[in-house]
Amino acid sequence: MTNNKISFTPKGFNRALFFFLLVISQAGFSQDDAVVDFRPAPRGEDGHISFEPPAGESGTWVRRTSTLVINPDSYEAQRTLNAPVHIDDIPIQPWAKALTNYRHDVYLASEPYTRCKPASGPRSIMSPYGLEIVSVPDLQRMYIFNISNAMSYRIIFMDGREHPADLRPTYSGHSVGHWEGDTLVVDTVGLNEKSWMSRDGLPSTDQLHLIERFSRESLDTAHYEVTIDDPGAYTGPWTSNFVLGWQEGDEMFEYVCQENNLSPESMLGDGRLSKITP
Amino acid sequence: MLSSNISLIGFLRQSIALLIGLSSASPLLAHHTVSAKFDIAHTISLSGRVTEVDWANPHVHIFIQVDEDAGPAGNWAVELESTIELERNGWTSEDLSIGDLLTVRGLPARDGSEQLWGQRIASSKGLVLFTLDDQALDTMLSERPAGPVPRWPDGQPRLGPPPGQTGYWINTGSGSLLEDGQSIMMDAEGVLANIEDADQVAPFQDWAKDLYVLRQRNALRNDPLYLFCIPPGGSRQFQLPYGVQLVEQRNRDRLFVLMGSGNRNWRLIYNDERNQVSQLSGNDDNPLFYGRSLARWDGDTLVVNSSGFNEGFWFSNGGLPHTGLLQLEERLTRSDLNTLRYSVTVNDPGAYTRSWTSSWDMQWVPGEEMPEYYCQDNRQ
Repeated sequence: MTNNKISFTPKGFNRALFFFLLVISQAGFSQDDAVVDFRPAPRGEDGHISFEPPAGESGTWVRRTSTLVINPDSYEAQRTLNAPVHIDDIPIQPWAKALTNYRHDVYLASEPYTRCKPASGPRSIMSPYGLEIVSVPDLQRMYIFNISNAMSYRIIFMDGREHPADLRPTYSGHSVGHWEGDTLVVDTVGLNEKSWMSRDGLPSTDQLHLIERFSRESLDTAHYEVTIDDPGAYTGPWTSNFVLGWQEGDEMFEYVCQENNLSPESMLGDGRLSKITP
Repeated sequence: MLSSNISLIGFLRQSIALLIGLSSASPLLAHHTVSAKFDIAHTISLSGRVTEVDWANPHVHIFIQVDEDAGPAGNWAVELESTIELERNGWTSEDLSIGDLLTVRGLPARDGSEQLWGQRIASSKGLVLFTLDDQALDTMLSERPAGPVPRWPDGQPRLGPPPGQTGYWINTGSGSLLEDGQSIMMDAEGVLANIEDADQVAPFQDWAKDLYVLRQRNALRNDPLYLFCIPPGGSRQFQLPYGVQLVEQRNRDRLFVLMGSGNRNWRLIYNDERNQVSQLSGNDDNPLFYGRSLARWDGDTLVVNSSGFNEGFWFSNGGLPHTGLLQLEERLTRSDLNTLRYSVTVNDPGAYTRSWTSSWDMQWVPGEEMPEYYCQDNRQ
């Protein structure tokens, strides 16, 4: 009897606890369904969508996916499946496809990002840890600040200027932006060939012309669309996109890629070692 | 803003002059201490044909093949300033071709290797392709339009440009930190003319002075900024070439310091009366290169208090040591459109016997963005 009682009580207790938790959890779900925690995208003083937090809050943007194309030949093909475009459906030139394949054959080991180099365009937006898209209306410009991606920044001129005619290629390129409704459209040229434009290993040349479209559907979600127009590596422009999630309450933190760079000789690279000492 | 390409080119010429001037009038602009690697007491000339052009930051290298009859035979690496100085001097990588015959004058490497710090490069026909102009900086600074301190509508000084304009700050003065009131000779990179002056630089503790003197005797060749592209934390970002740009975001009570040198990093200074504690974990287990910076306005002066530094970087030119106990109070005071007084009080009971202060003026470069410079450019 005693044994039965002892064994019965916990069972009964478990059953009651299970029922209790079921009710609680269902109540929780139905409450989430009924009262969706939707907060609209904040707006700046000029009325445009702001990619910054509401007043008094903080937050950063983090990629939700990390490739532009589905690529079965990727060394991490599974990871590319969320991309909206298949690599066979983009107008990639044969040499560029071959180079992409080669890069994946060696596990993207030569990616400049992993050598602490900055990148512009989609690579800078799909870098980890988070970024901020900041408007400085007083200076008629916006900045994109990265945590990773060399802990650096891009300037987007919003004053209606055009690209300079005699631009020399740089890591950041030259970016000008304007608003189309609630979408920020950023046009970039003048990019060098020293960094990769995406994590896909897709090549680009100094003819690369990027059109990036940033929109913010709600407090929590932004949409990034990029059109890649590079007659050096593709036969026509093509477009991909991915989603950015809002990390509410986060602030940018210090990330120094060079922290563990402890070999000046190897940093100088093959081929130069024999000729140059630091 | 600049209204046409013509005025842009005109301005770039001024800026070219500025940067060239800086790079010679003050060795401050050199990415690393030239004297650490090259023998500044000797000059040699070589002639040879170009075999390779390595156009990247921090330093461009041109390789020339020198024949027996034209000097010490071999494949010499001619090291030049960064691409920024060269491109603003009108050079591009396309201006040199493999096989071009050049005559180069410069400083030989201390270790006897086939390396030369190029001071003057001429074509075989005597046309000077590259040299340094001592006067241009002074000319540019003296020709800047003068003006009062630009202010926000509420009267607070602006640390950046007047509305709708652009510009940034450069240091044309001191080399390393030097306690205010002292007057000793050092070059713009902080190398003392007389090592016996070390005591006067700062109130060092014994070990810190020994380390400082050791670094000085080694001509600063172990500088991690140069060797590893380690960030210019502490005061150093206000000492280096290419300057700093200050972006005030008043609606979010914060200020970005954008760095023209190092790796084009940003540093955030918060003006929102928060506590100086990291968001992710405690301060002690996550010491930083740029520390944690809080600011408040004291009249027309922005007072920035920073702590939480790691010990993996040099916080000043010249090799002055610091420890993780370092606390800095930086005071930024704009006295007119073109002048920003930068004054820093160093409080580091791990390396110094008392707190001490060093001050200098930053100069406004109007109408231009900082050039894009990444130390990591040529690091593989």
